[in-house]
Amino acid sequence: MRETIKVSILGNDAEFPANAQLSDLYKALGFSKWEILLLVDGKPCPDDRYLEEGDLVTWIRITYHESPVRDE
Amino acid sequence: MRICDICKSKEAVYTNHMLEASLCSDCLMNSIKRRAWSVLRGELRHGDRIMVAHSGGKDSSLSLLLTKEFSDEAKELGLRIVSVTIDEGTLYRRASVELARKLAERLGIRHMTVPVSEVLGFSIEDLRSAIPRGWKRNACTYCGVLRRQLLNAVAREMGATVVITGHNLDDLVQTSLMNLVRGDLNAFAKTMRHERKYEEGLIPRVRPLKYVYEREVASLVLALGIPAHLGKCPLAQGMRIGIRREIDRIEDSEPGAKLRALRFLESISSKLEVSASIGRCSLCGEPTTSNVCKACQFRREVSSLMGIEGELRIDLDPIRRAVASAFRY
Repeated sequence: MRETIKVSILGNDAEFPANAQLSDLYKALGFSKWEILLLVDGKPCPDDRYLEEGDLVTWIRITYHESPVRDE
Repeated sequence: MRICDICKSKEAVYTNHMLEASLCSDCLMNSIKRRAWSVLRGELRHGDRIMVAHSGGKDSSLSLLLTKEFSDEAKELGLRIVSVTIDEGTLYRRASVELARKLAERLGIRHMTVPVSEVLGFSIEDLRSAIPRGWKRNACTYCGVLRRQLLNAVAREMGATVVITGHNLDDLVQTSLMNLVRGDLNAFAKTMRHERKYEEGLIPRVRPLKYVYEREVASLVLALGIPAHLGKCPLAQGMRIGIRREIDRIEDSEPGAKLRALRFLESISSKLEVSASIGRCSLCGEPTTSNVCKACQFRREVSSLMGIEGELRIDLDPIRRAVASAFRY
């Protein structure tokens, strides 16, 4: 059984535990889920969706907080 | 694939943390529609002429869509709808005006664009360029006040009986907490007041998305491919950003906190007396609670910033010509 999976976040490869969910990705990226909406293959997904090998993750900004990343 | 917890058939697109359930786009739409339609059912009246303040952003676009669907469903009410976009003349707005027009056309709704520069004599982009570094106010503050006044004037001139806006649950909780922090009881009561009441010159506003999270709106608009601009205005800044972050933190630890807070604030505000009475601005004649309205106070500042001599007035003639027959269809 695999322990990690690779996903692409805005074109950059990143490795996560195989049981990581989208909600974990918000935390890893340093954003609040109220601030951005993560998209997998361009589509909105529930926070409890498990990340899958090869997922292409992007995001749109819903609002402004004071997060590490200010501009997409 | 994560399947919807409600219908158990389609792929989920959104997690409702209060219900601890993930929903597909159809079930999310049904959930949002129930809340929005309950507001519309309670607030709209037979024969209403509705102006939807439609920026082309996600919130006002969904408001327009839900209002149209409600109007089609409640045919006995004989509602008429016009979509109006205030064009502040910013680069950001350029994309959203086109999307607003596209959605209105798709829904078979008349759409009108009102350029701020024609009515005020300058665009918000002109104003932004004229504000020096370190100035006491940012362009967002001016834009908010001037746009609100303009929306009301347009609605009044076109004979609208109600204005529908895209304000969502997050907006309303943030605004009420900002009023709380400022100690502004009148503003708090006015923001929260939920009964439809006509005050001289002020067209009543209805917010179908007031019980809908901003995140739900964004998810649904994306999932259904509703034409809407998803960017954020780059001029947005100020106290709201800090307040928003704190409220979001509370919602993270207490799912449903925003909704419960809004219901509570609505309940309190319905018991409050608003002391300020509505009069007319001595300069522009628009409704205000003071002798000179905030928009005129701001226009004075703008004149000075932009080196314009004389008083900047709101010129409603272009609006009157453009909107005179808006509801004749």
